[in-house]
Amino acid sequence: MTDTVLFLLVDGLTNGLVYALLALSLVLVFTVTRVVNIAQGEYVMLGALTLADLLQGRMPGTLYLLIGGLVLCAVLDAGRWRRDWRRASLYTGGLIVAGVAALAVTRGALALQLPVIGMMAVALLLVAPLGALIYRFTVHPIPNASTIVFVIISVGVSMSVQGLGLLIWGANPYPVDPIAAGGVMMGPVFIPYQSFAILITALLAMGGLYLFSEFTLIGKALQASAMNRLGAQFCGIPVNLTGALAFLLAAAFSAVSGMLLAPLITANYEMGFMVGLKGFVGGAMGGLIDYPLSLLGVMIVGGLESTSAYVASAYRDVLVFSLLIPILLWRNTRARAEAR
Amino acid sequence: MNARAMLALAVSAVLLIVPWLLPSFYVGIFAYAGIYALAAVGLVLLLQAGQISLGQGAFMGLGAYGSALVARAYGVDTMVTLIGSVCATALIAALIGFITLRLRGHYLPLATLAYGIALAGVFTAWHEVTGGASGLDKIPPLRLFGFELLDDRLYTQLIWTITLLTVLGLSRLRTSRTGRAIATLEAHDGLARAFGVDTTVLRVKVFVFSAVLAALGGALYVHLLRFVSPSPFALLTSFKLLIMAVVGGPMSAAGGVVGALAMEGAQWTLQDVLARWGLSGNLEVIVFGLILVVVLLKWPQGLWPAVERWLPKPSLRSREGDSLPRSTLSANRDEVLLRLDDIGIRFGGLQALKGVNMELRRGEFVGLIGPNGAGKTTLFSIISGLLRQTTGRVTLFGRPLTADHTLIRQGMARTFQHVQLMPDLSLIENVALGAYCRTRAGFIRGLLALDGEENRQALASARAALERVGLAAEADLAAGSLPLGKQRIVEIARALVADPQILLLDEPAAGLRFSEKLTLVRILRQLQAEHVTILLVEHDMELVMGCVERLVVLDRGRIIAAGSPQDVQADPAVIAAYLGGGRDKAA
Repeated sequence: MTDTVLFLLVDGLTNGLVYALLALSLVLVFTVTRVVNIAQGEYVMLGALTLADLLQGRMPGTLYLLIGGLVLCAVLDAGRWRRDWRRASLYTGGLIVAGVAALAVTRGALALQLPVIGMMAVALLLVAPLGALIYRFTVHPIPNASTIVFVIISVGVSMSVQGLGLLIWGANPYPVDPIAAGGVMMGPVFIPYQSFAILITALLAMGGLYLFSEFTLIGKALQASAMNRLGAQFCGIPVNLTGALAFLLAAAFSAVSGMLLAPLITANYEMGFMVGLKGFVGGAMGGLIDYPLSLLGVMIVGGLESTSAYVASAYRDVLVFSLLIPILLWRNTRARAEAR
Repeated sequence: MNARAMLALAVSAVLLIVPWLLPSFYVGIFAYAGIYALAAVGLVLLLQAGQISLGQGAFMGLGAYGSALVARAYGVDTMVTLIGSVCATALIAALIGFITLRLRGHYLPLATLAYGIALAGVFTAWHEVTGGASGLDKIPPLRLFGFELLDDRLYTQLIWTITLLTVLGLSRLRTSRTGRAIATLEAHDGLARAFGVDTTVLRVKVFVFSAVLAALGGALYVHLLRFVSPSPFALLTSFKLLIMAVVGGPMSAAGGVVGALAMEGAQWTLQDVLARWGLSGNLEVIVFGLILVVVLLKWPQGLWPAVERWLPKPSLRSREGDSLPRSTLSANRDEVLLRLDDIGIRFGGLQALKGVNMELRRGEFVGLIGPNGAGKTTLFSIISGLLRQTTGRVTLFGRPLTADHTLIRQGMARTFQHVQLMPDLSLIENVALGAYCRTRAGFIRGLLALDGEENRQALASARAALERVGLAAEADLAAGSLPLGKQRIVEIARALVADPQILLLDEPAAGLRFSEKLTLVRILRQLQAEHVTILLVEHDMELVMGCVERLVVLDRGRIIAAGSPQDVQADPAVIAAYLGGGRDKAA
């Protein structure tokens, strides 16, 4: 009995930490841009499948997505040429350099056959900018739209990205190597090294984000945009850049969580969406604004998920998503109490 | 019959004949398009009310499984099971709606997503009953009054008949009492409640109705296909319905039909093209997602406005006949209508009001003035029940203040400092909202157009009110097209339609031109002569001093002076508050 409980605890904790990275991304995006990003989970899928490609020595399809996105970005910003050709050429040049650099880094990494950690860094380099590009395409044009409009847009983004994933990688699952194979017996429970890797990464990500937002000027700009967008704008903070940065960082966190999760399950084009939504269930606990409460939320989600997988596996998702409603009601009464 | 109705009839006739002209393979597709249109129309209504659902597919599933399983297992007549399962879904939706619709902002879409996934998960997980992922076959066909509907073409006609009747009903609803209230839900919760709309109940009604349409669609689907499995009711369907509603546009129920036809057409064309390129799987979702994003970025109102531009104007609903009766108010000037005892309110660390005592007697015309930030609007919000005071007591007509949406029925109407009109609706429709509390026709009567007489009265009253404030000529213009000053006058007309005993006016003269101010003063004098009690917040001192009998001066949340205009004008504390002076230095 204790063995089972311990096993479920470790399993739940591992899941919870993966969702924690997602919740972190969601809270970051929501606080800075007020976007409830249903599509956040798709970066999990992109991260995992990009890593799978790199580890098997293929050019990852993400590279073409990135280059395509950069081209689209240049086309959409063609109006800059009329206003100020110097800055426009600088901007377009920057986009071209970014594309070429991504291509060169990928080719170099494939030629050198880097270890898993190295490949993860390369995959991160390919996926994270996609976040900023999606911000440029979908949020930047309508800064004052309502929450509901952004939700619907993110649904569209999620569908498109998932479809592109299917187009690029097909429906087959891909195995992904863990950072370190094997694990240790801790008492009666076997813990894979990957779980430790997830723990360490999650802690590093959270600590990194904390230090970044408290002790750097850019981080403070992010915080300012999160507190009051208009006020931040008046203080000379380029809120569009902070928004893009929030999307980029969130994409990075989510992609990392995908790369860490993939060895435990397998990577396929559908894997991200559900992970993203479970991050939401946890994040909702903190109202999508409170990091520590979100962390508690995802741990509850992870625990409930591994327990229900053991007790009533068919109902796992049903239970996890039903949990959202009491959480939201609790948040809502809290919000009302604060309003009074 | 006007040109628009004839056109609608012609289009409907075509849609009903089409199944007999199509090759049989396409009949099925056309039938599904009709079912999706039905569910999408419900979602359009939700969007009009400022709500959203990412779980409509689950309600389709409830309708489908409910009807299919009972009919299959117990051999019950399918017409009974269909109606029963739609009713059961309505109950479940009412429960879910009651719980989740109190959520605001970003919580609501997340909640709909969550129950959408959870319910769809149950269809797969409960495989002893539902047959799990592989589904159940041998679902009995639909029987209508003992007649088995086995012909797909006839069935398709039935589906489209239901869909078109729903569109007709909803377009009637839009111009009814309930429709006007629904239009306020998206942006103006406070306004709706101030005019007697119980917004919580109305939101649940709208939500339940959209769930009923989805469930009906699901049940029709399952008896057409005669096979039930979870995949048609999964999240992707909810998303597709959302795309249809958004692409068609939230402006009109017909938009749902346009969206459904456009998206189903796009889907089959795309699948055809993709298959020719040798691609398989649900790759069309890439394009669907793009369509959704691009439509919202470029045409947030969807395709319908583009369609509507080519259509003849809709006929206006009749406004002939008698207005609602107006009450004659007593002239007993001693009766205390509104009484404030020791009102105080804190927002966090800010004490916005403290120790405010005030009385309003019948027929009095009282001005409430004070520098910006004195707490005037906050006090108004407390009196009209939109804010709850921290300390003290408000007594209205001798009773403690009840819920905000009931105050107008007791006879207290208000206008807003920031004009709150529905910009897309005509003036007369905006003003007719004032009659909400004095009329009774509900959701169903509006839908079935059984509200004719009452709606005529409401519109006639609205027209009379517009005449009274001198805006009769503009009655059919969109409210958003008027200059701000006139919009304020419209707000007063709307309050007058409610036939109030007490009228609260929050800065009605701000942004008015001189001639409009004269009209305002004329209206106010007339109301005073009719013994309407008026509380006026205003910055235009000339107007205030010329109209009111008594002034109350607020500064920093306290009453610093009260009395006749002459006395108050001479009061040193008031002068100090407005111009700055000794008091600040002393403090």
